[in-house]
Amino acid sequence: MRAIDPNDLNDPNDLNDLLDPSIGQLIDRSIGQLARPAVIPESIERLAEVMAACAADRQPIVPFGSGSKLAWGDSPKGSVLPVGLGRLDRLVMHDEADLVATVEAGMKLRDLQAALAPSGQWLPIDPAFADSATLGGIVATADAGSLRQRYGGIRDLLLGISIVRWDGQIAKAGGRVVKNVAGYDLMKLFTGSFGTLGLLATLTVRTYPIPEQCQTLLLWGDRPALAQAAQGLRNSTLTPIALDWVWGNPALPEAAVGLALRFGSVAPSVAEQMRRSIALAQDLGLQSMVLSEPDEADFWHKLRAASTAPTSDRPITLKFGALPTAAPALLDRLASGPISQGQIHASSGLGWASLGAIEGDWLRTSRWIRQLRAACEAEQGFLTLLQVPAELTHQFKQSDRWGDRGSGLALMGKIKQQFDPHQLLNPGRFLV
Amino acid sequence: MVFAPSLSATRPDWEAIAREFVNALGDRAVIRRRDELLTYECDGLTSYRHRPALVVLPRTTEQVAAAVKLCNRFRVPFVARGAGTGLSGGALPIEDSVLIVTALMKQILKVDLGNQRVVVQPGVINNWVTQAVSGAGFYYAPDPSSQIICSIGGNVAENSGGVHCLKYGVTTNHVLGLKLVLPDGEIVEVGSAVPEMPGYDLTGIFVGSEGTLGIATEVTLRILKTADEIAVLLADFTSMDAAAKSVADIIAAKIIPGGMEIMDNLSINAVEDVAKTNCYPRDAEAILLVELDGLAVEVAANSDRVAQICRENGARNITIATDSQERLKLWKGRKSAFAAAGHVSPDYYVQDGVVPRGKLVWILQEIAKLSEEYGYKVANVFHAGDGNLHPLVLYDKSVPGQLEAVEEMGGEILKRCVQAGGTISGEHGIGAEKRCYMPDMFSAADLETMQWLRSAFDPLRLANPDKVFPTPKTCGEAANAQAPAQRLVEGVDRF
Repeated sequence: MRAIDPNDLNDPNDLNDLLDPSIGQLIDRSIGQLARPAVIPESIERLAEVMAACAADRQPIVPFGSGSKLAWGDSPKGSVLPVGLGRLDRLVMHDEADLVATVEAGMKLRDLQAALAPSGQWLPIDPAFADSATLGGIVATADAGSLRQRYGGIRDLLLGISIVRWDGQIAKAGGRVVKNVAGYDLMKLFTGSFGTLGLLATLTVRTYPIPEQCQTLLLWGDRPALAQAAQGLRNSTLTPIALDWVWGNPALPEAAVGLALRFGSVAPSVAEQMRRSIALAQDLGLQSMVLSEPDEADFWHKLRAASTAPTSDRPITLKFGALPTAAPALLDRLASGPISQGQIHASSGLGWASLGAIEGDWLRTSRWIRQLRAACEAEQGFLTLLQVPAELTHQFKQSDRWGDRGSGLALMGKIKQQFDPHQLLNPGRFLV
Repeated sequence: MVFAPSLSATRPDWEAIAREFVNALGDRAVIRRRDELLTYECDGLTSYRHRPALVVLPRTTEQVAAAVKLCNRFRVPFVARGAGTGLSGGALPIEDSVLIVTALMKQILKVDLGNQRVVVQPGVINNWVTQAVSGAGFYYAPDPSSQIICSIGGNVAENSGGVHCLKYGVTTNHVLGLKLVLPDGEIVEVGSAVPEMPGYDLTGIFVGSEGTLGIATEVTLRILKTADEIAVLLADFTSMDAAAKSVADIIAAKIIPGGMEIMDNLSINAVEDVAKTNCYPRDAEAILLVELDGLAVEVAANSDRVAQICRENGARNITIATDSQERLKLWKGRKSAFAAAGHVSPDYYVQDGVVPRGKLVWILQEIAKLSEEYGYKVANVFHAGDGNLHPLVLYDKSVPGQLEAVEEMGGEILKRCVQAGGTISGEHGIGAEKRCYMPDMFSAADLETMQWLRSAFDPLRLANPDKVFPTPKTCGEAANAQAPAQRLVEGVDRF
């Protein structure tokens, strides 16, 4: 097969139209010097042709949706061809009665939510870059958020996929029904695989009714009392749809650390749960603040953005996890470190943080991050540096950035070898 | 169906191999006597039987690894078996194989209530997990009907569901980490007590892989807090359509019950004959069971709305139970439906297809047509909220030709499920039984891609070979016995 010349397919203006303006220079920064002009196919068949051509040419590629998370992970190796999914942005199917939707991978979450809203439904996730992120990118990075308290991660919402393989063939797994055990669960394999096993083409997801009412409660005050409140809430029969530790957040008055609870249900249930939570907080001498719609949604939106969108004084983005009971100790550690903002999902123990350097000292900062990582690992968790500034790239190279300490790495390598025998798919970015 | 030895043309020297297993695992862990092997000839799918060459009963991860390494050394396949309750023949031994039974690995290794995690060995019975934590107000959500006898290891292999999956998901949504013995005997730990560990989601890949990727020897489970209030609502209808329409209306009313189950008239009568619950009216065409959980105020509000929806759809009687004994009584009939079918007919053949919820009425009509066409009665019990059907085809195995006929009929049901946008298995697995229908659902490229994953784990194909995936030989032969082989590779609309 003759290789497709990427210059025939796109002009640079198209690319800029598709990329989110807020991350404008990201491609240049993260893959700029190495990259060739991007290819952005307008159909899945065309995407498959491009991939087949790249396979024939042994041309490595970097897939991207809106480009919002291109800086996550290490820079790709070699001369890579960026392949954009942004034109595969159609809602293929929404079966309202069946609570299921199929989208092309380049569809933005924001657009999907807008399409689902008239039927009173949503895809219950609150990922990073929620306004620009595509479904494909969200799945490839396993990026859910606080709503996992009730709805699970994106892995738990994904019913079926179709993919373009390294050789340009289209394959699928799963289906469109909520229970399905036919064949291997390749949905789980592709969730969080960072584009290293194939290109996501379509995704079928489970949708949920939007709760009749949502309210949010913020608690802050004495640290041990907060820890007691968190454990008390987790052991209660209350059913929050989100329950996060938050810190460094401007929405929290007075204190650096607090708890954020979100309830979503029929109105009487929300009222009852708020009442019980406030009573618990008062017994423990905690301060509280109630947020109602639409402020409460805005709070969660900004919270996630603060913990994952890098700023000039907080250029590092971390994803980490540890046993839920370790959260208070991790928060103490975070409070004694560099300037940071973030959240820890209280039930899963997963957390996100954006942070800066300790007094401008990057070496000291990297040592501190390693100590934080050790603390996570001691509690059966991990710490991944999703995004680091240039000053830290040499401190944390490829696999070290992901912080894998398990015994499954060799097996992951074998899987990668099967799905990408010529190392064409996002080479160098991920752990594998 | 034919299960051919897949590896070597000459038979292994089982005497010598058995000696090695005894050396490695001890005499008591190895079963060789023909009469003792009988127990292990089949799993819950009793119509297929094969005597394994050897059965081993390890107690530790290291013993499982030692057994798998011996299988590698002698290049003999192995089949893992938990409690043997599977319904798709996943634990059916193949010829010249070692059956590795995890039934003696029944320790609950760790209960961590603070983190709501439990670590168990694979032989632990499903409802032991709930029993271990219920005193503190927690439970383990996936609850297959066989939960008092099926094991967690089998649940992991099959990605088992149950009657409460609608709200809380199936096994894969509750497994955080695994200790695995890979098909080469290596021990690896995947996942953790924390989700989304760096790298590929090996835990998610393994759950539901039906014993083809190795053997899980430790399982880290998530447990949930028992709800404040639980209500079970029973409604009976004079038409199946009305019951199915109620299910759709409940979902449309933004209510996600813990579970929604429907039983048809034949099932109701079978259950009343056997379990004598006196709860299900014998003249009803369908009953609908809805379980709602949450805060009392939420359950009360939703019960009212569900009852109203059922009434609007013509329900005759509505019973609501919140007391735990009363709830159990309402569930008892549903949970004993399979056993009841076994009492009213010499044999039954259960299928496990799934359709989008909107196609429930259509598929039931199709099943009724097939029932008439083939001349076998079908009792329908199903997880209506998930669109997961369990038609029980009643037949008599002792009459020559009946098993083949009901299998063919079952296949026709599954094809219609796929046509409707559904799947050939919702929770029982593909196993030995349904692999020849895989091409109805998946293209050659789909299946090849899945095999890539298998090759990464098991290049020698020693772990439960001849399961899940169709092979030209066996599926060709099975198909030839009943119909042209092409029928298995036809079908364009497969997703």
